Amino acid sequence: MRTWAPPACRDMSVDHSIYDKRRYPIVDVREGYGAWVRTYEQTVQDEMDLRLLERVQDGRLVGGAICARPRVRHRADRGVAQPALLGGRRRWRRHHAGDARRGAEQGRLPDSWDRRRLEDRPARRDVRSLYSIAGGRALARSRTALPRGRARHTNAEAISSSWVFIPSSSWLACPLTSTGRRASP
Amino acid sequence: MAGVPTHFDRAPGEPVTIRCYVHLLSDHVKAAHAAGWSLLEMDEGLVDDAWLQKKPKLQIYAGLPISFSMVWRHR
Repeated sequence: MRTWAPPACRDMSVDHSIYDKRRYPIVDVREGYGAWVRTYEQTVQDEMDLRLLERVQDGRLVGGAICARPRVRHRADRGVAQPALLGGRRRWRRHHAGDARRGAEQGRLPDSWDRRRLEDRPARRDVRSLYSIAGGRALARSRTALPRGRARHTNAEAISSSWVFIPSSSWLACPLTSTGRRASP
Repeated sequence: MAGVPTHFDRAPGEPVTIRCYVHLLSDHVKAAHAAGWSLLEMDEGLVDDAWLQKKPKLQIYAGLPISFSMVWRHR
């Protein structure tokens, strides 16, 4: 396994300003998402991402992969991905409506929940590198089918070594422009 | 698409942009390869009628790509 190194583009990063036609004031990631978390659920809808997800062909992932939007991933991490994907989103959202807000109030970003899970796990170091450069918003997990149609949520690398990337629509408007942190040094 | 940095209204009438870092599609592939991943699948979503029902203001982007999915396998 090669050791991950920043791609060349890190040294020749694409100028963000050429994409920024609106010229709104720019806030950093922590401040921005910390403020947005209060209304994020009303602004960004995950239905369109889930529709794209359904088209994934890999049999181990169809119907079970978890899209990368933080709130969806968060549901997955709590082992309730199946009801989330099968129409239980509103019910789950009502039940956990305060999670994101509490996290923000405690100085945590939604992505940080997953970032913590990636730390100090040798098997995930490579993932962490890509996860970081991708802005911390593109990591997903997979599910693996069990007999009788049951499904079990598990870490992707433990079962299939397959991962799905689905950027959230907050940056889908620019598929090649992601928002997030730079890779850890 | 030309690209739209992440933005939202911090307060009514007070839009802000969250600092963005531009990652070209090739950046994703380079980083994945360096981490030992290979691309199994990729798909794209377009701004279609379903999108426009949810986000009518995206009409100006109708037909353009707005999302993508990638499935990677760790070697």
